[in-house]
Amino acid sequence: MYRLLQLLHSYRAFLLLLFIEIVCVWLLVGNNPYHSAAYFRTSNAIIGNIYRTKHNISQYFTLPRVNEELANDNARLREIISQTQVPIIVNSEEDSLRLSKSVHDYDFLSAKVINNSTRFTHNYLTINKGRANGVETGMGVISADGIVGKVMSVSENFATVSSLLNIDVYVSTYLKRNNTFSSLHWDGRDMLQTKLMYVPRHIQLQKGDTIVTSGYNSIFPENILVGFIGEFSLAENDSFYDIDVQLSNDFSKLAYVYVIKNPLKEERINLESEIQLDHE
Amino acid sequence: MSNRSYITVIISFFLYVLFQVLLLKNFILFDTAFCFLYVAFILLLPLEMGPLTLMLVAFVTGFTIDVFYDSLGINAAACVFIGFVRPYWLNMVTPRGGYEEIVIPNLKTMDFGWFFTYSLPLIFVHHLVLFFFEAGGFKLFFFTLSKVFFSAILTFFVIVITQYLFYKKAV
Repeated sequence: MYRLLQLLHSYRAFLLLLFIEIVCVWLLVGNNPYHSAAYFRTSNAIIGNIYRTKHNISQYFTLPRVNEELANDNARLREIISQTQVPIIVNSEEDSLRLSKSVHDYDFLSAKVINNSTRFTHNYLTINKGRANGVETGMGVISADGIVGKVMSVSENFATVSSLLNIDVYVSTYLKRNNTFSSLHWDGRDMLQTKLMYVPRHIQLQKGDTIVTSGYNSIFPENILVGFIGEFSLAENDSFYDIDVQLSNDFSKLAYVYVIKNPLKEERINLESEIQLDHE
Repeated sequence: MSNRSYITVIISFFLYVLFQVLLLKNFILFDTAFCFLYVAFILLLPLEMGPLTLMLVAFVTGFTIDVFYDSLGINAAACVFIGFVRPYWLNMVTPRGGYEEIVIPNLKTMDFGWFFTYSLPLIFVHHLVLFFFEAGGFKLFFFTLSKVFFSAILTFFVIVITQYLFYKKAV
């Protein structure tokens, strides 16, 4: 017994290494209760506040560009409003615009990006709205230029958003010109480019075709812009195209985003799971 | 370890972490060269620190960085690994005359050639673990390897600059 303890003692550094590395992998793989929790993420109150303070200083350097973008977005929205006859109810208490229920099922809540990464293979944003504003895990996030990502963890005042630039994320998309469903996936290289998967070979493609969200999930509404088809090729024996997509969003310049609340999400998920149960 | 060196270690921990997450997090050259200056904190810990303490300090450092980077477990894994390797590596690169009277292995106490052979391989190993963990495997092998290579050079360069700027040479 003593010899055994002696042996363990002489290898203590290596055993500790092994133990900590296993803990790290466990944290990384994410099948654990801490993964979606907000304590160890940028949505943590202390870290969120540090990033907000930093952002309060650094935002002044990008103000002209951000103002211009918001003005353009406003102009575009005004144009849409002037063209539609749909009754719009503006909620004056919160800074969110709500289309009347008969038209749309979604609410939009504006938020500011206070921290952002684009050059890793798993990228995240931190936004300055949290549970207090009604943000919940799993909500979709878009900007004026297209889709951004999905809320991953939420604290009282901050939320961490898993960006579209994440090699584990697939988004259900729709090719507007050919009415074809497909899947968007980032290959981890260029932050302006992603890949479009599962477009079968009988589809005729054109450079510049518009790709939008399909509405097949309850996270993003239909017809949110994703990007445009760039280069594409079809190998002799492949059943699917190899397509590069130019993203409509420049993720490195994100300033304001909109969190999408879907009040009917739960109803939809319940209904869909009921159908699945019936099938079994 | 004296009380004074404890305080120095704690203060430099906060300085390195804050500098890393507030400024260097956004400092990326040509989309491939990242700067992880905070590795210097682990490289410059006092020599007399035992291997277990060293690894635990390295873990805490990496974990703190991870929380800010939203990369839970990645920096921690890389830091603990170089914390484990560091004592062995220090043995292998022992300068003539040993480490007598040397508390912290930096450019103030050592010459440039020694510091180069000591720090660059450790930085490289740290980045190797970090980026391959981050990429989740070897799918993007050469792309990730180029990130490791250029980031290691950039990090070493910045570490040397901070040494000349903030660690005054003893006369």
